Amino acid sequence: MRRFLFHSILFASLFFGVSALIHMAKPFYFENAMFREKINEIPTECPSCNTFFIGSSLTFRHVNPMLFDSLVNSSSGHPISESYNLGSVQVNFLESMYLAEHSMEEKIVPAKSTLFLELRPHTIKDSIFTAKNTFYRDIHDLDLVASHHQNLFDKARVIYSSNAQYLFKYINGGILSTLNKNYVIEQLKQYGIRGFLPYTVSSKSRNKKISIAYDDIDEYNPEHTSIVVKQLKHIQEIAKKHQIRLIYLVPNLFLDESSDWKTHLIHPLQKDSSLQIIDMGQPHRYPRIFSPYQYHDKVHLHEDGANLYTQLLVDAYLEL
Amino acid sequence: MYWFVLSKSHRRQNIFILVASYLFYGLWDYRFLSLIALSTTIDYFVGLRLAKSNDKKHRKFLLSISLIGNLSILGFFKYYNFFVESLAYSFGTMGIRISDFTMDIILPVGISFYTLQTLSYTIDIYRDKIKPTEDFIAFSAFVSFFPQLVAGPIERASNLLPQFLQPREFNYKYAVKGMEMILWGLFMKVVIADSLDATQAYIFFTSKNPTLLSQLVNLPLSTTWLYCDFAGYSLIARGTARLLGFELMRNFAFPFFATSVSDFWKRWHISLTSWLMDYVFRPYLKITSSKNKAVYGLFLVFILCGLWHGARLTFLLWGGLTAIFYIIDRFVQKSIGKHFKPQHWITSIALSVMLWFSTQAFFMLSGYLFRSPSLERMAVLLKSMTNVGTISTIDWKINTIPLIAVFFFFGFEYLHRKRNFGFDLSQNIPRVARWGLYLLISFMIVSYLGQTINFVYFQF
Repeated sequence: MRRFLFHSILFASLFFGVSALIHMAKPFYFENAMFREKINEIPTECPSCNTFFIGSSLTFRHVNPMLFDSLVNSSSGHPISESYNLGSVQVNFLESMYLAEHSMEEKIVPAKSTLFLELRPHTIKDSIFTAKNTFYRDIHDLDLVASHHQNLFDKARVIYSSNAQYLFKYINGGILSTLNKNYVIEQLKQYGIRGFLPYTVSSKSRNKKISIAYDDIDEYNPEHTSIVVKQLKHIQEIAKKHQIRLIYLVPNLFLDESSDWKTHLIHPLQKDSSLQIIDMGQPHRYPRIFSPYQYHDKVHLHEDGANLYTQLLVDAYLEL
Repeated sequence: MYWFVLSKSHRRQNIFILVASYLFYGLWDYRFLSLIALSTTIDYFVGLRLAKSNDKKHRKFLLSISLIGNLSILGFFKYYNFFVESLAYSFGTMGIRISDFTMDIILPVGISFYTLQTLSYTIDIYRDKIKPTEDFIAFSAFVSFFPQLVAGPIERASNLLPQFLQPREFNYKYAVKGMEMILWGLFMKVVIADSLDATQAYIFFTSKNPTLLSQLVNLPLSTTWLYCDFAGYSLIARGTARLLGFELMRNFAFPFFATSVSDFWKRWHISLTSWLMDYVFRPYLKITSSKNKAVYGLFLVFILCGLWHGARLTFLLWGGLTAIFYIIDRFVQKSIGKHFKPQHWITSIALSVMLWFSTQAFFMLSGYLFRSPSLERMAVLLKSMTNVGTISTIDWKINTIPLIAVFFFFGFEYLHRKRNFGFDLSQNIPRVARWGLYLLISFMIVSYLGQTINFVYFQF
């Protein structure tokens, strides 16, 4: 019995020791190769950037920082903007929140900057990506991290599990990363400007009609609303602490205004004066960016569409 | 405490186990503890009376008390609504409307498992296979033994009860194997089953129009999910029992390496299939003189097996379909054995591969009925199969790691297929390598501990 106990304690010590080493060695964005690439580029490409965009490929492919800056800077009454697109492929809502929170805490987004953070519904499809998420594995993990009243064990479990994942995510992201992902990163390195790489448009594809994907609104679970609201306010608090202007950006999601997500989350949030939201997912308000001729595929705009999107985004931003 | 403070008396250890088991179950819903206590009391006293009685009629009467008592509780909680709804539907088709008598009944966790377990005790005493125990505490601990109370394995009194009646000693090697079982069980559940859960649930329950290809890919994945979820629990139960000095029966014996349907059912959920064989199939053969009694017996067994899983038409049909597959397979295997003797090793291997494939395909296809929540949903899935399409990126998104884990898992299962379980490491492997593997698997388990997904067999 004593031998068994001794070996159990030895094994537990070894296990926690290795975990601690991993925890000390890893950066927060360890599994996101594209985010890592962009962060490495910021000091050389845009050392004095003061506007950042964090989100999925809908941000990465749609927000043109150079155009954004030229339009903002040509208007009067706004501080000079120098922006950088930190959007990355295959990032879902939970990961965007995670990346934004830690980018502010680790001063990748410096004080007195503006941060646009993509806001999307968390759907069952996102749960399929569970193993991909670094910190917030599940929507309820947001609650665990944001709430001060949850039991310590649950919190430790969430944080710890993210640490232990490092080993495997590193293998996954480094050695076994999909060829496509690596290809996009290579393309970004060659042709990207300030983290932005649009889908190029040729004279042939310019007139091509694409059927846009209607976002599956039935899959939004209204039960998650309170958790999401709590997390949005939590991130807002962090932004306030670091003197960062935080703007939530709903991308060009083809959503009905009466959808659960809009009704339960976005509309009430728009009435909340403590949060700033720009909603680009309004086909009736922005019909031009929902034109099937502006798209490269079912969800992504091509270069022309992206420039149009950026223009409309600037208009909405200046109106805030 | 179990080994240090209470080790001098196995009776004290039994009290400890009993309290722990009732606490464990009571934490879920203390009201249903009364059902376990009631089953325990009925069978304890029926068992004692059976041993004292020599009168055949009286013995039959005593056995019927146990059968009616236990099966009534199970029937009420598990099947009441199903029968009332079916009755109302049948009358409805005849134009007679009867008012709805369904009730909002919660299914007590583990009731299907411990009911069969405690029934085996009285039936075995009735058959003079075992002697009843006078130790009420030991018997109560046997019925409610927490590692296997809620999802099996369904133990036999002849195997488990004697272990409660004798002193237990801590054995290092035995405990280490128990820990290996727990580790492997957790790996199966947390890393594999939980990673595959969202995809299979999406196809079976939510997806509006999953393509044929998505569904075909989902077949082996959802079967792996079911196996890892259930067999994972069984291993954790066996490992936990070992740490307390008990040996539970094996519930799974590498079913994915079976090359015939009958072989498959000797390897899958062994505790239930062997229970049905011993207490339903064989007695049925004895009392029936029909020429096709084996066929009828198989139908009876598998339909009961389906109903045991729940009061649902899809389970009933699943049982019937499995029986048909079983009979077809027996026929094919017999014909092959009679008429075809492979002369060359290549033909021999090809035949084995073909038989293996057909066995697994039978199980996966019947799994469609098992997993579909209703016949309507099943119809939707079948209809959407006409949409050949591709593997939609929405339907089927799994990270690389769980897929690698699946290969890693089956690799281990194959390597250890002659041993007790998939991670039954040989003592000849150097300690450094074994500990390295323990660490690797522990890391994987912890890294996938994200969401809480219940074991699927809790619902049965």
